[in-house]
Amino acid sequence: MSTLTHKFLTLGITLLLFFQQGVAEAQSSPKVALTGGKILTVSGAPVVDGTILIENGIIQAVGGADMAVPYDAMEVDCSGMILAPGLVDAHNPAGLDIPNENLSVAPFVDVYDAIDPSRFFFENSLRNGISTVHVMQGNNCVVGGVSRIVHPIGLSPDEMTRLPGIALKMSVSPKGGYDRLRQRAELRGVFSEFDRWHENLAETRYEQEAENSDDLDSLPPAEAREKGKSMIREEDLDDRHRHLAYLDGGKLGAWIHCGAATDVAPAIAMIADRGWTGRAVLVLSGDAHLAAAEIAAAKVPVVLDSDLIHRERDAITGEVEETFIPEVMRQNRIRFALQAGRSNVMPENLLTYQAARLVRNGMSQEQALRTITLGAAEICGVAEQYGSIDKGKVANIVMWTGNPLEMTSWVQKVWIEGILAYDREMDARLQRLFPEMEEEESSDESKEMEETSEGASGEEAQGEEGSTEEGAGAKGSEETEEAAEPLKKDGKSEEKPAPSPAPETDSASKGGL
Amino acid sequence: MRISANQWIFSLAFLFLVCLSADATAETLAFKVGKVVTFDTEERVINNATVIVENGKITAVGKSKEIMIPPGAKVFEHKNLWLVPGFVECHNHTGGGSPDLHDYVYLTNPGLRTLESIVPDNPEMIRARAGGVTTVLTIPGSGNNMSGFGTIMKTSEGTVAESVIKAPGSLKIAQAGNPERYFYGVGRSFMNFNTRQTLRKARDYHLARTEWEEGRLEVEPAFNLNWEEFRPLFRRETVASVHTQIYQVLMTTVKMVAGEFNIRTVLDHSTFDAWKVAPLVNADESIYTINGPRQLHYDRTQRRLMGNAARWWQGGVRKLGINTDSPVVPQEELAYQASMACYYGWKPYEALKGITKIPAEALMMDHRLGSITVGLDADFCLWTGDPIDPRSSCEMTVIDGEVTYEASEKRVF
Repeated sequence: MSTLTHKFLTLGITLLLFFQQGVAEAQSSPKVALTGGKILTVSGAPVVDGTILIENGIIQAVGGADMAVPYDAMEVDCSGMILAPGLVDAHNPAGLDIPNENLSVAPFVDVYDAIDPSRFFFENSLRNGISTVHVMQGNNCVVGGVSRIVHPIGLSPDEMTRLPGIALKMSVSPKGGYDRLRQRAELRGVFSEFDRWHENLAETRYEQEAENSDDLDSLPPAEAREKGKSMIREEDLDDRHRHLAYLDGGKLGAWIHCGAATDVAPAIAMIADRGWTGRAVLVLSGDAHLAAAEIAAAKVPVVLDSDLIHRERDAITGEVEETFIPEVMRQNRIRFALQAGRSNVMPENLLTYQAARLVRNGMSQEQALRTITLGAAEICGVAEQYGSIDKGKVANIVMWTGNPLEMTSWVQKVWIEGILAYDREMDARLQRLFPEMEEEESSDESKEMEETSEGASGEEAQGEEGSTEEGAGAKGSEETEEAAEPLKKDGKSEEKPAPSPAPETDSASKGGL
Repeated sequence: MRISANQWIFSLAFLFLVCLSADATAETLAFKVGKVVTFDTEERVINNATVIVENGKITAVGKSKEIMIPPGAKVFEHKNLWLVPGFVECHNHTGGGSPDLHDYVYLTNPGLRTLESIVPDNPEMIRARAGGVTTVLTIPGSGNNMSGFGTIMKTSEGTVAESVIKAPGSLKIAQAGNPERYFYGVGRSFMNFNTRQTLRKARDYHLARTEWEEGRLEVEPAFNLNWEEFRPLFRRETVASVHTQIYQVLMTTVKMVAGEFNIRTVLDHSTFDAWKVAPLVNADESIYTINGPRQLHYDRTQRRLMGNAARWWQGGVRKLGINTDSPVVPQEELAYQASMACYYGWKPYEALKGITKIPAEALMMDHRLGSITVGLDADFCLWTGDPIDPRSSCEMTVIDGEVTYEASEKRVF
């Protein structure tokens, strides 16, 4: 309770500092009820005129209008708005001072030491509806550091962190200045040295235990090593090997960067050899998607680069062929997550824009939204806490003025652990950039009207979800025809002045945030 | 080298002179001035006041009509001048020979001390005392994460033994914002990891030695000269001077050095957008923020100029002082730095306190320095007006009850 109150205070102060605007009455009640909005739960059917009850930062109940609101809960009227789970950015080094250390092998470092809460990246994440960021070191390493899940608000990484120690970053593709031979030799060296160290430690531990115990007999080294493994204590691990021991012991995920198709097979072999199956993720870039069949066979989920398109020039004709990578993943039934781009000017830094492009390429709206929420949470291994509006999950909820995948929708409010962390009306920076916001409000309202009519058909589609994905997909693409149209123009030529006034300026300027 | 007879005679003569000067401090001095800004516990500002000095210490402070001047005292009567405590500099690199500023051996170099390189009465110190600075903490540079221990010294004439008042005076840590240049460049995740490891080793050593000393450990832990100097740090008898600036870096200082290791921390520099960390700084009452040498920050996101000290003050930080990082800003311009802080929005009285009482407290030397209080070292200066006003000049500097600078004899500034 007291830590929660402390969080309220610090969040208030942070808002003050970053947005230079007073939050007169921050929601300081541990019980909050969000009522009247349309809830996109992601895990199940949407709830029209629904109620979300939050207590101590956790979602306690989700129900319809008939659900009783406890007398001591602070009620927030969300009517006319859409409530969706906070978006999950599955992989991002942008919150760090530099993506990678200049050390090729640095499994002992933790992103904790380099996270900068004052980065514009975090403020902007919140503004764009991203409430959960998996901060991980970049791809330019042999073995990188340990990642963590943070909320993009707080004075220090301690306040931002909900889940430390998520995964260890590795790369099978050569880091800068390396070739493949050296990269693989170093990677091999790391684990062979670790295994030797680990076995010796196990043997020593067994001998120590045997010395102090009457039940244990002295064993030949091979057996002692086997039996001693379970006797290794936390204090026996040294800094250089601790995180590698966690990785093999199942406490950390293995995220492996594959920068080319040729790197996929060695990565998959490594996952199988080291027993990381089930908690391994491939971070793809370059033409790694060409090895989709192998990835699918190994059943390893992937994280895609924020630039979703791979371009290849024909050496003879000079023609450029574009491949939309998520479509390759979808056809091969590979689970994938997205990451927000690091640029402040490209629209790829909006997860919603990326999701809208999935819809444009044939995915259902529900699936696209799921990809940037629950899907990403699953791949990060944090689906128990994040990704959907369900009882027991962390109350990271975004209030949208319309369908999140439409570029005319705005993030109106964001609750992080049930605390109001972002309010568009108090966003001084946004107000300075768009002083004519009142006009946009009215156009938003007209959108909402469309939204409500759309809601009903969305529900129908939701019912079919899972069993007949094709049907839902077709419906979804039909529905977003209007939304996708301006997007196409937007994606191809962002700098050109918009032909049709209202929605175009909206989407273009949002990309420019 | 053989020592010649001449040199012997010279040394004897020198010793004789030293004895004479020691005699000089034994005499009683009385300063009758227009105003005394005391920064004592009641924060008195006394007009038409007298300060009595005996044996290098302040023995009486009060209204001239209430203070009895002891017979035989040498009286300095300056009815138009202000008597202000000597300035205390928390971040100086000019107390010694500048080639010895820094050894780039490793990222962390415990076991080094600036004490070995002190040159008392060097030209920089002579200028410093003419600018009203009577005490400086000379620390190693910030090229690596931990560059050794600093020395607190007076700017007075005399030998190393005479001018040094505390060594080790502080541990110099630089968390980021220079050590990145080390070798091929390191990032914060490694630098912070490395600093933490070094401090952990030092703390483990301290705890083991303490256990043994208190009879709870049978075998004596091996003595280690490198870690030995850290022990006063973990007993909170000395401080860490942390070169820290920029939000993330200062936040880490508060979290790691002051928090995790419970070390008394002085935030040197604390510039750029570091003032945003104010709520975390306020949570630990022992943290001192000594701002400088940059007094303003251009906030690109808000496109505004901001005074660093003013922002810290606005954030509720009251243990706030100013430094020059001499030679970055010349040592004698400490008061001018405080003026700049006021130009960008801070308050003159607080700024004067920020170069006297506050840094003395920050270095845990307020039992000797920083205020005009009975029993403290007689370190003060006579000014033509408020030292924060750049039109004022220092007319006389007294260190340990000895007049070390007199503008009437030879004006420096």
